[in-house]
Amino acid sequence: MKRMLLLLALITPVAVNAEPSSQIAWTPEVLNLVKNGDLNKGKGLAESCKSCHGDKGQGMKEETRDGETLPAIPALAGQVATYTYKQLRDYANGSRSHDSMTGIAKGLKEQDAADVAVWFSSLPAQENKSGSRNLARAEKMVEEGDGKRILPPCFVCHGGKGQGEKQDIPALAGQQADYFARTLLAYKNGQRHNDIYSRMRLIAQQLSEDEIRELAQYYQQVK
Amino acid sequence: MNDAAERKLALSHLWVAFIAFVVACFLGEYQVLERSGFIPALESPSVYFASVSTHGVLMAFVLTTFFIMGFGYTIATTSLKTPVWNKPLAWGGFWLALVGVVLAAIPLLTGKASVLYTFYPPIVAHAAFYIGATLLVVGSWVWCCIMLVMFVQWKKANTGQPVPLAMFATAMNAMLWLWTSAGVALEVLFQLIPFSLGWIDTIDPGLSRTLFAWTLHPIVYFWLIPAYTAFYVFVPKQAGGFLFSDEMARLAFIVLAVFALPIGFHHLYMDPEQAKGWKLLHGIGTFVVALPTLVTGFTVIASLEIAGRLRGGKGLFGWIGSLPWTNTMVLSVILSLLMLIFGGFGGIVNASYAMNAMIHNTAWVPGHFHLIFAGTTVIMYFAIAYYLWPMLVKKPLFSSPMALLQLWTWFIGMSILTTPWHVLGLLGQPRRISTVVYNNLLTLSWKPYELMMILGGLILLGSACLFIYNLAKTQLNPAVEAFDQEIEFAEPIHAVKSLPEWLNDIKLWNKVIAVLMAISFGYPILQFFFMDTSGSSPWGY
Repeated sequence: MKRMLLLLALITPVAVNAEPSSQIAWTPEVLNLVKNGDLNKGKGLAESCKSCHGDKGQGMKEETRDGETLPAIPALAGQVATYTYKQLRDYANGSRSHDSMTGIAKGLKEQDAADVAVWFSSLPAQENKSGSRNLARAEKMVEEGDGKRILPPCFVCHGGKGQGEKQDIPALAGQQADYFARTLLAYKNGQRHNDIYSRMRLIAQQLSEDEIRELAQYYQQVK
Repeated sequence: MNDAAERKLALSHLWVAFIAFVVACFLGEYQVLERSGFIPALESPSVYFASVSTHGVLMAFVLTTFFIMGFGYTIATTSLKTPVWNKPLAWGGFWLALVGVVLAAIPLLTGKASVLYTFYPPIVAHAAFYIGATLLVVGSWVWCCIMLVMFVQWKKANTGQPVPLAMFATAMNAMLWLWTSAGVALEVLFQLIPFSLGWIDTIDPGLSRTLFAWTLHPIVYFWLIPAYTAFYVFVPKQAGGFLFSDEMARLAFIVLAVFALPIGFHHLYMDPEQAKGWKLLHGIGTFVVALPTLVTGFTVIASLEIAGRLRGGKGLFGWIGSLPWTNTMVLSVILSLLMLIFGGFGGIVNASYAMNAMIHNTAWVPGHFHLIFAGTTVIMYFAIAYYLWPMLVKKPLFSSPMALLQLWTWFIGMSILTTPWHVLGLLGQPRRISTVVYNNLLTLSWKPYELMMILGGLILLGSACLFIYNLAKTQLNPAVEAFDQEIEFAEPIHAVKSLPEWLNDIKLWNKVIAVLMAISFGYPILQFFFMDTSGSSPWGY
């Protein structure tokens, strides 16, 4: 009996934490909801997003104002609609958390999230100038991966030009480098955990911080 | 050939086939280069898979279908000595098929249909690809109808007479193709087109793969029957002898058509959607279909021996040296049979349930497929083209030595390409990969074989260009004198005066096929409607 109680005591915290990484399942109904999102309604709803995500959905770089570092804000223009939808719903459901976005997403109905997602996917992705940093290592990672660390090439999921895939694989082309790096670092240390099957957590854990920053730069300027 | 209209019809089909062929050869060489990784600038998975899909569609659907249609019209008019029935309908079929090819080419070349020629749902292509492929098949059905109408009309007008062997084989092939294409037609019409247009949200890949397996094996025999037809009706005469047995030839075509159909599950040995018992049944059927190939091998070699001995060859093997090796048809059949022996051996491995597990989805499979199709079958397409072209354009062949060089280089190139391909499969290289990114000792051991494949591909590409050049020069050269050569069909060593109806008609075999198909595919298809399986959402754009 004592052993049983001890066992229960040990597994209770695990059971409490044993939630799926996301509440979103890509059933045909959910896919259709996103596919049939209303562009005009999305445009209207997205007006309030401009202040942070930019008037063209281009996001913002990391900035320091009055000695305070303001984190980068993601570009949403050209983002795969299913991905944006899932992030909004994950914020609303608590699978992902952010000081501002959690509250905003909770204020959006499922249909609203679909409309906003479709609107941002219709905008052209930001095209950024190439930097001077040598990105050969990042390019190799994108195209070949690293067999020794069992890291698949990034293009396999995110597409040859970082365009993402229809079903919840984000577009990376034109993404703000600072935001990209912060996201992968968050996956690496487990702060962010709404990736199904821990896909990105497993990959990010294998990457060094330098590699992450190079990949961030690579995808920011890829066209 | 009877008149200019028939020749124009046949030539139009054959040119579409051979232009598709040469374009696909360039793509093939690019693919072996890209896959090897020796030239980093060429590496692009998206371009690679667009290229593989285009190569497969051009070779397996366009070259074959148009060639078979053009060849069929020529066989029907020359063997039956009657014009093509309903020429406007025949041209309608041609244009329908050609429009289909152009429609499918647009998404293929723009990377919107990189689903390979075998489709592989739930990967989804642009709807234009499936609609284009459907039009191509519908165009070929027009050809089937014309062939069968001509067959029936001739039989009515010549009651009790044996249908010429060449036409019997062609009619068998038309019937085979109608049965064969029904599987993929069901898949495309009721699954892929609605899926690609967004009319249905999910697809059942198990049902799709079962329907495609219905088509996937007999389609190979649809491609092969013109080659076998040439074996039986052209080769013995060109070799200077007689056909060993007309009846054996008919039997081979019958068994080929009947047993090619209910055996497609050896493509699904590793798939979960069909039970082992069904796979075993299809596996046994697969071995039965080896019989007509053995009969053909025996009959053709016996016919060649008759010819060799008539030409003065003596001893156990002396007749082989006496054969006219400089005759393109004879050289082709020898090279074709050599490739068939090795390819057939590989086929037995594929067909065996247990051995298949070793090579399934490895590079062995495309290696085998290329040896049998691009080797055994396509070399006979060349032979047929070299034989028919002078009669179709009414001019002598531009260069016979060039034709012989082309046939030898095709054989050598195919051997150099496919031998390492098989070895790569045994070394564990998967098929359908664009690059090898996990460098280790195993993948490094693949490199020499990939280098050999590039060389083989280059030889094949050169050979393909020679072929097209020779045909084009033959047609474009000014005529120097009247050219009155006619197609000569081989006579059997024992003349056939009458035949039992089952060797002279297709009706009985049509019924036998219906029964066998109901047994082999009835429940395996219906089960998808009894089971409550969840479909898959589309992959990709």
